[in-house]
Amino acid sequence: MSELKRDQKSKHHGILASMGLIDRRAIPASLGSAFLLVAIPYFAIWGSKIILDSLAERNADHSQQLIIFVVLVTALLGLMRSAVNSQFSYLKLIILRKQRMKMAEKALRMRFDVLEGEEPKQLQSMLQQYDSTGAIGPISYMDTLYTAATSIFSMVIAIFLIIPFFTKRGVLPIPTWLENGSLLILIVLYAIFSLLLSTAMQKTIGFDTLLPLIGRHNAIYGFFVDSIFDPDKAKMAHLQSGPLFKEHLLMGGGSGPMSDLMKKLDGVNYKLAIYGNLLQLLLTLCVYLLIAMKTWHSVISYGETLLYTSAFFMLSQALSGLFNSIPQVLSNKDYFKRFGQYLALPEGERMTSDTKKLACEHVVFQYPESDRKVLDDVSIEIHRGEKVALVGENGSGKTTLVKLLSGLYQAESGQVDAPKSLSTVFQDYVLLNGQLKDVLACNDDSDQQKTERLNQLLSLLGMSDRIGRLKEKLNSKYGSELYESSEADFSGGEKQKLAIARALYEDHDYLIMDEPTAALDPIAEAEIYQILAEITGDRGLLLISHRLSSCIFCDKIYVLKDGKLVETGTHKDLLKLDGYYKTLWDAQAGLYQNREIADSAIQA
Amino acid sequence: MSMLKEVWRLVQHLRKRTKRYFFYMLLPIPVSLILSLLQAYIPKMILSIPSPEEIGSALVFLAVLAVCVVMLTMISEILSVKQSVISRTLRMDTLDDIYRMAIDRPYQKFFIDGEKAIYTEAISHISEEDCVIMRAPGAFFGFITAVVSLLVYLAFIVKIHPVLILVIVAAASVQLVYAQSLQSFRKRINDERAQSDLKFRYYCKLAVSEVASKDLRIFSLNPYVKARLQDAFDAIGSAYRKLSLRSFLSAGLTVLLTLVRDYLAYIFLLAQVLGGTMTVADFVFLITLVRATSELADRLTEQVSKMHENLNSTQIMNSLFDSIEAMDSDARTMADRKAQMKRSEEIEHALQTESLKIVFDHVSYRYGEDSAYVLEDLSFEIEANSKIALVGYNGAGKTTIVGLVLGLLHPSSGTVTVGGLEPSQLSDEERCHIFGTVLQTNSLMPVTCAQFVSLKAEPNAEDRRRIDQLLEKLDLKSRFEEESDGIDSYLLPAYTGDGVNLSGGEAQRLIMASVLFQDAPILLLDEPTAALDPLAEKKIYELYADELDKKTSIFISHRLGSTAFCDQILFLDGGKIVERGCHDDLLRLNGKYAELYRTQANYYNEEI
Repeated sequence: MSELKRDQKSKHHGILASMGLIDRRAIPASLGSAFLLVAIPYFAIWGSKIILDSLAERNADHSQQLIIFVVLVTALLGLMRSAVNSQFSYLKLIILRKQRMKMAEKALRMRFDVLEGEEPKQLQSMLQQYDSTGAIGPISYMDTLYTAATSIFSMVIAIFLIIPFFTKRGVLPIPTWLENGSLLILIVLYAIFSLLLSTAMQKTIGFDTLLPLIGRHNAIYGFFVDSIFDPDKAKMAHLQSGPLFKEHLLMGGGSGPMSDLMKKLDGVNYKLAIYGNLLQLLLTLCVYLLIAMKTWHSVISYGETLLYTSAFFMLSQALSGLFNSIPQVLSNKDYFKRFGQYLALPEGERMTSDTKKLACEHVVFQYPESDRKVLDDVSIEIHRGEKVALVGENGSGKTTLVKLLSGLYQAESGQVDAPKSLSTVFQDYVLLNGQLKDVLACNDDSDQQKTERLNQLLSLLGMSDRIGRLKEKLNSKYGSELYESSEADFSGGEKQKLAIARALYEDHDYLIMDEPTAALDPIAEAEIYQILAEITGDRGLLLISHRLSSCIFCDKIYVLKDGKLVETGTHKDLLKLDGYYKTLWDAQAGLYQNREIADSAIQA
Repeated sequence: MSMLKEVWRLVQHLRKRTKRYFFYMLLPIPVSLILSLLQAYIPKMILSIPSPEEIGSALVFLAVLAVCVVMLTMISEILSVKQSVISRTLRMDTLDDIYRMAIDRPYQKFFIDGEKAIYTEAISHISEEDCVIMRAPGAFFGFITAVVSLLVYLAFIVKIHPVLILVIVAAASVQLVYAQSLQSFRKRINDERAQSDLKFRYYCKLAVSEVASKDLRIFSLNPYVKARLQDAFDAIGSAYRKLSLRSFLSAGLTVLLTLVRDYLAYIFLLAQVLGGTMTVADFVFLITLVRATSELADRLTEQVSKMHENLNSTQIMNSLFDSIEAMDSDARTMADRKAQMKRSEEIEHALQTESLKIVFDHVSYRYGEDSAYVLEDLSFEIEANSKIALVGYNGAGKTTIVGLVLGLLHPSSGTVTVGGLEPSQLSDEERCHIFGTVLQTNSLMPVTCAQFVSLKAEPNAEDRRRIDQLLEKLDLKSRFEEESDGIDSYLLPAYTGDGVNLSGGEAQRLIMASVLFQDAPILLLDEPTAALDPLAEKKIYELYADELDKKTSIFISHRLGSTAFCDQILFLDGGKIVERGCHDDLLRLNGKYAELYRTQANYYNEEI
């Protein structure tokens, strides 16, 4: 019966695969942009060298030709770089959104019970914590890859350019191989020390221990900050909870583990600036002095002087850059691993069947992280035309049963018949933002069909006048998240009716309503219950309510206690039974009884 | 120019907030200028071949220059770290200031009169690491650096040929003008994109929301959401495409200008070298400078664009800093006033005499100038130590009355007084002393149970003893004893990662514990049981009925039976009190209250 699609194995994506999943162009664009970034200055240096060398020939025409060639090729490379670079920056602008979109699309495909669980939320909040720092995530990956590639390309070209240097005659009173090789040795030493320095620095930061602490600190601080701007929660800040709010806000966002991390990073950056340059000092001195000596002894041409000084420095920069950027590229590993885990979470659609009844038999259900059975051997059955109520205390498993019957969960054992033709109005229903007719009619009907059917339903629900007063009727924009101000601003009772209208739009066989009136005043509540029978028509209705009074008209009442079905029957049967239902009933009805006056008022 | 003025104002504000701001922002200018000149000069030095006897001193000189280059590089790197530290600290401090200011604003002004928008806008401009506080001054000082360097370079380049100067200046101007025209285009595109981004974020949030996803699945809305998400993403993408095309064109223009300039520079230099009026060493030095000017011109336009881009944010930050300063001086005068202790004495007095009578005198209220009155000409008194119930339909103005009593809302006309004081004038601390509140909207917070109940960050031993007592009374003690941290367990594990997950009823009781802990003389209870099942509801009512004896209390409920124990019931309809009296009186009156009561009681009584 189930159309469950499972991804049994959790695949682990590497960084490259994950980046490819987000956008295939990201990596080529980063590499291309890096290559051209490096190519241009090297070409300029090489161009200067050949022009400079041509000066020695004192041939104006030849020099001019060379100049035109160098200038034109530089311009051409410049244009190519602009083109690749604009693609690169475009991708950087959209890639985080693209990643978010992949996750949202995944969430849409995800099995509901998985989506509702802890794992996706944890993964998601971790990913967001990471990429909100800006130091990790797809954008940072593109940036660090770009930097690393720049270093690698630069290194390769520099090595290629300086090879002729080692064939030059020595000018110092030491063996030529030592003289020429000394620069190479220095560069290698410099590279090794850079590597040691940057790894040592990375270690002192201790990302692994700090990141979870930062997450927690930010979550708590974020709660208080968000509350300031939430009209409901802010009330707490102005009332008795004020001191706690001020306490937390005084702490400041820059305090705690986050600021520790930042201070450590600052310290590392200062040290890298100092030690890195001290390492560079010896190399710089040797390069300049040796090349000067060779030039002055006419061992190398003017052009070569220019070429080698630049190339040696670019090589040293490339090497230290390489050692800094490779760990950074890899620091994204964890991020993409989690992203891969998110994408590998099990998928599945609602589990429905073509059954003619809404029922479950001997169902047992428990949530993954808990050892308590939320539902234990529960069987209920609803046929078309029947009105059935489900009552019980908070935490008795009512809402779980609703989700199960709606095909959102899979039972651990037992049989669930969740018909496809079913609408559920959850207690925490969500009406989408958008044009009213699209919000309420969730299918591909034409506008005219939608309007006709909705007008019919809204008049049934007593909402025709209210909608009729809107300037744009069913075309009005609804929702505070997409529209700053909207004419279609409804009260709780009105919204509840709209949610019911949406549930009725498709003429389904069954209707489940979970606490449809919890937030309504008695009149609005009574209104809904009065029309309930009418709007249900010949559908099968399952009603969940705290307000026991609303169950009286039902054909059957199921009473849940601690996940077990304890009593079943009509209201009268259950009162006669004098059991658990009676206790619940008395608790509520007590508020209205024991007063003769009440009775007299009712008789009046 | 007005742009430079705005940025200058922002720089001034930032300078006031940081020690040695100018020092750290200006020092990089000479450092980077000297560094780049040295780097251009060293090859020239190497190429000017010294006579054999001068080689020694030339080598020493070269070594000194090399050391200078390395040292200056070190200084400039340290300065750039320092600059980012400064910007980050400034940003964090400013955010904290905004939050603190926001929380100190009266509720009415902040939420109803629309001040919130000012704050959220300011925050949106500094919410990202790389925000206006970093960008605008960075662009400003970058601009100065570029101008100064350009002038110095031009002084050298004039030696090549005066025409070259003209070409360089002309090229820079063209770039600048083009960049300006790009600005308005960019702004338009960004506004367009912001709209789509709002949609994009909304649908992303919807897709991952566990609450919404139930409805998405039941009503097969997933394809709809996916399509809308794709639409929004495509719109964002096409906006950015347009931008990147424009920036490609602008970069192309720069490349062409550079081509012309480089060609001319080479040709002029070539002529001079071949003509013997210039050494090869100078050729190298000057061509390096010419090339550097193109970079400088780029930087110049880039910085101007950046300042332009951030102009709006800069203005907003300036007005924000102005108001922070105004607020600071305000706070000082407030403190002066407080030093006189006059107000606190009044409050002490009011508290001691226990005459906290609540008086509404011809009070009207509406949310905003254009909207309809929620309450109209409402007058009533609530005696100290009496129990009052406010009942009525949704939207009858019950919650508004609570807001007015608490001073969160300010009456549009008329006066509200509590013990002779206007609640809107109370500070939050004073309000805490007078009122204990359980609102519909109260929720738990990510703090420990002990902190939540005692409302203190560090409850002492005496507090902890009282907390224990209250938890026992409210039947919560065993719940926390199960936890390893006892009453120091956190309450919202979703935020803290560990802690207790309380059910709705338990949370409601814990909120009640904190109200009882505080022991304020007036209690306001707005629908404290809406989310509870019958048994839990009954229990809460019994507890309240026990505790309310020596307090003034205002009780709001939909469930009329629950308010029967109150001394007086005010029945509200359409912003007016239409009926008042005790439960029995009102039933005898057989008016609207009786009707509402019957609606509810009917179901329960027909069996009896």
